[in-house]
Amino acid sequence: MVDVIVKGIKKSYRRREVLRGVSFEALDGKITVIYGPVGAGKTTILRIIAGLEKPDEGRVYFGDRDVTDIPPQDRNVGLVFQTFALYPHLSVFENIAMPLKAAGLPIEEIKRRVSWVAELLRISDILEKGPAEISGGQRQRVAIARALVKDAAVYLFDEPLTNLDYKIREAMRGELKKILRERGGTFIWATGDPQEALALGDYVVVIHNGVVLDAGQIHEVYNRPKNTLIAKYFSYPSMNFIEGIVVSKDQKRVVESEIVVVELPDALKSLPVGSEVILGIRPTHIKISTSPIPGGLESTVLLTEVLGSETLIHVEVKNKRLVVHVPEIVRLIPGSKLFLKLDYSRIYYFDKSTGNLLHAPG
Amino acid sequence: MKFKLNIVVAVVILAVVGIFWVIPLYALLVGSIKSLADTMSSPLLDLPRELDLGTIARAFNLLAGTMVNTAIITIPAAFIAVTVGSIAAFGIYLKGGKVADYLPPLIAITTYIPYQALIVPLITLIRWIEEATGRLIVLYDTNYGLFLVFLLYYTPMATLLMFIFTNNLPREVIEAALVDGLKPMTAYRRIALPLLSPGYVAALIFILINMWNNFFIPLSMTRGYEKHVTLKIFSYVGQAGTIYNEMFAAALIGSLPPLIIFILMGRYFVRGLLAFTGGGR
Amino acid sequence: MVNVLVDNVSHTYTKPVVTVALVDVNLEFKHGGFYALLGPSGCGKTTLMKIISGLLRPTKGRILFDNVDVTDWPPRKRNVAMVFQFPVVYEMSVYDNIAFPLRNYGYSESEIRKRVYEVAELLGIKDVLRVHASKLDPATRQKVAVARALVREPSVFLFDEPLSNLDPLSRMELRAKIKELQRTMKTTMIYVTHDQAEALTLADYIAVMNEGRVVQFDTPENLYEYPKNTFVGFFIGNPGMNFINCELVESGLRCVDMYYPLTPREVEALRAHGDEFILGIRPEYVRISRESGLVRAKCVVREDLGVAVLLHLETPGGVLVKAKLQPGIDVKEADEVFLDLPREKVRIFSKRGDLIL
Repeated sequence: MVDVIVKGIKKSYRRREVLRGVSFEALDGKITVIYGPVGAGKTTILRIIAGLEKPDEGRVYFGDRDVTDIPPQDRNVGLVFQTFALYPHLSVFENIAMPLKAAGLPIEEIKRRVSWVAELLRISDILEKGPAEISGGQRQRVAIARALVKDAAVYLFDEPLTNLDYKIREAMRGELKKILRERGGTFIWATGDPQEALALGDYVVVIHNGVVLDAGQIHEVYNRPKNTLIAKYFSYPSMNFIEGIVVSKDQKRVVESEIVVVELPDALKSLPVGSEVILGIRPTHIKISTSPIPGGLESTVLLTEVLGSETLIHVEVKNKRLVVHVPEIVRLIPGSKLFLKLDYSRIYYFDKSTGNLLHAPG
Repeated sequence: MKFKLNIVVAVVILAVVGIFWVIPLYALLVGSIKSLADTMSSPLLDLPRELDLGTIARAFNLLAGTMVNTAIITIPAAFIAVTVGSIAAFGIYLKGGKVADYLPPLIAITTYIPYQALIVPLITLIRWIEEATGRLIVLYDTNYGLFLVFLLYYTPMATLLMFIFTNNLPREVIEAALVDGLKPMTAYRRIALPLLSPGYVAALIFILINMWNNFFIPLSMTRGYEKHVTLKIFSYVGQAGTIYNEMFAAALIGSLPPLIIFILMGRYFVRGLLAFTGGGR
Repeated sequence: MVNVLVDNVSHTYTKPVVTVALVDVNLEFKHGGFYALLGPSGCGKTTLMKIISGLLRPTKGRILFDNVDVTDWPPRKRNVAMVFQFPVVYEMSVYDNIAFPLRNYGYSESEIRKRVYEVAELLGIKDVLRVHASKLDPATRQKVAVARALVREPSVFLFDEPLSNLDPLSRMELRAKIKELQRTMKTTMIYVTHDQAEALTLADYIAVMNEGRVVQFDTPENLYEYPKNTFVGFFIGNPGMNFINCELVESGLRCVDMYYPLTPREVEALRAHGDEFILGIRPEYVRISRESGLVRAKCVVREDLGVAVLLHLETPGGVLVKAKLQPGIDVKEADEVFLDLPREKVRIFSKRGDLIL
């Protein structure tokens, strides 16, 4: 029930630098998501916070207590592994009870707490079963129960939903958020799925290649990505990028790109001519039509991906590939023409050389 | 129909090799039930003219005491060796890093040292201890001494075996135990050991059989032939070389206990092997 | 390129415990088509695939390739290609991996070269042909596995959740690649997955399976618009359909405090099936308005998923309905709004879950 502070963590494995100086804070009572693609270093950070690894440099604090040199069994941390790591030879009840037994709690107290957390995770009916007899989704709940049953300083979740069926994941997201709020505590959740991050998190720490790209309130980081890297990785579906140059046209400053010409927003009116920029537009901000739209672009359909109740359409406009998101099922024939209208009021502007955000819409 | 040549060849080779093993076994079996008269007069591989089970009875009586003594020494020694080895392997496993990289090969190397190279320094040391403590700690020709040397010699091998099984434990399950607040020793007892049990039993059987059948250590550590089964069987040799019936009977009886253990516990042995090859996860 | 017929197949496993895996499965896969077997873990899709490939012999039923009974044929004889969840790649260069089956069959090196390049081009791995397989990442290894399967020109292509072990980015990339492949090659493809996005994107026809049975075998559009039962309605769509328990009353359905009107003819039709029903409507079709509607509801959870906002709405009577936020209106947690359910999008199921109207 403390703030977890991580400062300057560096970690290498056999010459490969996995973490290159990571610092962030996870506040008590909030769900902090560590977001990053595979190999970004998320699992390593969680393991360092849990004490299963020692950082080469840097410190970990639980509140104002430096725990960096304390072994895992003395840190009082709850950890949910990606592979669940249940004790195969023990029943579900014994699995969940283990940390309490280790702490030496009396049997009555143990029974009380286990049934409370089992109720919370809706697994009261499988307490007597063994891990091999229950489904993947149930095993995950047991793993979560084992972590939540403790009064831990911090609860760590290492991509616990990744190994589950899509439908179960979908259902668990909302449910887990409610459960965590009810339990109370400091939560750190690692994931590579942007939708999972958005559904669950209050705060986010975006990690890429062992470095923190940005951290803060999750919707702010999402809506105002500090640079193209974040805009690319922490967006769903991934943002479209179009390169362009600032030119002067009819006494106005515009960005001329290979496919569109966009007038610069007021905030950027002072950008010098010749500046190279990258325009970013989310697939959700492009309208489509099978008939020509005034002011629109003509594109050729490359392929359509139906996601369930939505569709992603990959199109090509003058040799540039774009992705468009449509909130319904459409099926288009590859090679057919599709007309696009970009929502200019939703365009992001990035500086090409640094990748930094120049202006965000809205 | 296509004849698989490789299968035919394999069968032939197996048959030939098999014969080399079967013939002595046959001789042992047949010899054990021959009477003295038979032994003296008929060739080795002939079937007995008359069945004489007294040979077996006599051999058994002779051997019984020694077998008990051997059991008293080897069974506890095997248990302790494997237990110590298991805990050591687990400790190295938890420690990880350079220790886990360099220590096991080092331990492996110690198992390569042939016992013959060790005896002289060992006996010298034992004698010196006897002198130094004024005959208080006597290790030569005692059960305690034999027990201790078995332990010392076989613990590295036991550690190595347990290391193989321990490495195949699901790492995250052990880590979960640590995170749950278990001290390493408790994690070993409650989590690792149950998962290791097939391997533990397999190692136990292996070490026990090795100790039981060991000839050289008891030979160098004791006077006379009474303390260990292999010595006792060997004591027949040289006596009147052609009186092989009792000797064969003794050999059979002496090798029976490990065989029985293996048959009874064989399940665990196979399960342990499977765990070794990673089929257990 | 072959017609595959699954004729009355059932299968029960005897070890480690007796489990019924498939019950009375009848499916026809026409040649050149792309089919998906979709369902949650344990529904039997992998078992069915193993039976089609020849890795498993069904306890009952037959498999026919172009009207020939192949039930007893081993996989090799059936000339099926399989791509598994874990990339099966040999410890050699990519080129040798792909050439492997051709060399086994005794093709000339020049013929092999031609085919390997063709297939590598299709999958976008031409530039790693000389790289040793151990140096590749999982996505590329999967491409190699697919290439190796392709190069044999199999009669049927079977995929068993080939993308589930890849990270989301690679998954999308490879999904698009497989789709391209499907259009270029004309092999019969059967794709097993639990991910509806994969099934809906890639397949012409999808067999939705649950607990060993095929629940519905239909086009993606029909599965989405006309699910035969509540399971399909729940499984297809992200998120799945809303289901509300109701009872039949005079001129419509009553769901606690919500009243849904129906025409007299509809009421008559329903009456024959009892008086308890399940009303289904997809979150994307629920209309939200601040002024008026069928029933009033409060927003208890607002899930902002970036690409859409999902609202969990609760009526005073406790009925929970999820709705996707439409453009033009914004709803915050604790707001009160009105819901409307357009008739053409509402589906009525029997209490057991079968579609009626």
